[in-house]
Amino acid sequence: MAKEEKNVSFEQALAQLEQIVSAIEGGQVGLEESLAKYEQGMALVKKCRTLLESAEKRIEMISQTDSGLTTAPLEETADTSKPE
Amino acid sequence: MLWPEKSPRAAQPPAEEQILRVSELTAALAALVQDTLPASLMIQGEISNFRTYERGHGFFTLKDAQAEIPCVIWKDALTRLKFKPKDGMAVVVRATVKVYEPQSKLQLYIETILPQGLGALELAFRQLCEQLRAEGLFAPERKRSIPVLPQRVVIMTSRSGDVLHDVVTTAQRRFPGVQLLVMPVPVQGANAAPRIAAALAEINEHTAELGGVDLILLVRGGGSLEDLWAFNEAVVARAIVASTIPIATGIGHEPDTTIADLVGDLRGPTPTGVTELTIPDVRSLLQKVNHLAQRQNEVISDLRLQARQDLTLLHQRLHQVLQHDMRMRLLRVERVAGGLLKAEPRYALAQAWRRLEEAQTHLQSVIRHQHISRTALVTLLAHRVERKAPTGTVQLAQQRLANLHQGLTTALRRNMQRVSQKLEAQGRQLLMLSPQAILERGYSITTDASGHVIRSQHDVFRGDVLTTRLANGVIRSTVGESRQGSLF
Repeated sequence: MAKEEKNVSFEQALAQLEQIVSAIEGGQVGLEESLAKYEQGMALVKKCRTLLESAEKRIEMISQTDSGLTTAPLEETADTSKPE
Repeated sequence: MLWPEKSPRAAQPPAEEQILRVSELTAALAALVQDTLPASLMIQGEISNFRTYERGHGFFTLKDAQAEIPCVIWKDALTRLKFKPKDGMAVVVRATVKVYEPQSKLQLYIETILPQGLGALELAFRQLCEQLRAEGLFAPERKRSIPVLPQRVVIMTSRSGDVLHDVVTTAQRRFPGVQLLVMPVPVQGANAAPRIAAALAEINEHTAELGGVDLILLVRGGGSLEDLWAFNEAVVARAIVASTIPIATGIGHEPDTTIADLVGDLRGPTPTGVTELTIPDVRSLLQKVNHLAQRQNEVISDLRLQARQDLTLLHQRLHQVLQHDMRMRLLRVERVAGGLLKAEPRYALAQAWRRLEEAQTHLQSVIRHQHISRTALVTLLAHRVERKAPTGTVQLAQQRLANLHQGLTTALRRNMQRVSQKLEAQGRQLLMLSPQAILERGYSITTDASGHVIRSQHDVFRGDVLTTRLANGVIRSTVGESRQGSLF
């Protein structure tokens, strides 16, 4: 699932980022490698921020068709009637 | 009142002597039972010898300490039971008493069985729990992990009611960018369980068309055990197990735990509760990310500073080393140049001249010095000689010297004469032998055109021009004839 790739990559991105920061804080890594890792880290930060900061609200209704499922934008109404 | 007085359909009691057929009797019995007893009775007893046959109908005996009665429960009624009847169960049955006429057999035709002591539903719940647990479906290891940041989430719940609204609001508050997909399903009633199971299967099958689904939230508001019963059905449990997409459940209130909760991948106490458990608050995640970014920046900043310092230091050291090196080289060059200069010929020459002049001066002074001292010595010696010299001896010596000198002179003169006489004679002789003398005696020299001296007649040919030299002249002639012959 394509979306799953993107999703796993958030967790992975966060984990990788933590790893990178630990590595360069540890001081065992040389200067050049640190800078390379830093660049990687900044790219990961950017990726994570993009994922987290998206604010466009999206909600759709699934309905069944003959061949499968389809989605349509939903106008969410606060229906307060009790469930049947 | 169990026994009505008399029903209008009661058959006329047979006259004493009336003869009945068997089937008439059994029909009369059946009618009697039907008319006398209420259509539906509640009877309490214990199940024994429960068995089902191919067609699915169930047969058992309901008994108490004193008596028993055979029972039949048709397949559809049996399936409607939430639980499985078992031997030894204490139950209350709702049933109709009927006579099976062909065999005049009295039977209870069961509409439903109610377990005693425990509600039917609770019993069913327990039985299904046991079964699924035994299959390992409650095992924690089987549960799929919920993604840290689910981006496309299906909310499966009733279209109406507060639950959907609450879940959506909660999700969007925590993660504004979350993409929500609503799958409406009935959440109670007879067809709820199959519809829920079907919906779960459909979503799994058509994930791609939906754009990928990270999580399904299966939720429903509070209610009684019966209201929630759909979520205790086996068909829903199996659909949840079969799903490849993780499923988080939030059904009823906090103490309500359904089988769906037990087989699901994550349970929340309520619909809103499970939303909070699965959809993260992105602000805290952002903080985490920002914090990591900050740490990173600080470390790199420090490293850069350190590196710059190191570089400056190295640069300085390099500069110093180079300067030192340059100085050393310069000194060496000067040394070598100095050496070269000294080796130069002009330099050596100048040196040599200087040394010469010095030596000369020195020599001159030494000579002067010696001259002075030698002159002094000679003067001294002369004085000594004069004081000692006898005059007579000297005169005698002088006389002898003179005599010897004369004698020598005479001898020399005589010698000279002799020698010059000899010389003269030899001169005359020599003169006679000279070519000129020979020519004067009458001889001549003949040469050819090229100056060769002719010695033989073979040296010439008729017509050759010859030159003859005489003592006082030259004759040029041409050869007439030549002949052999000697003078003597």
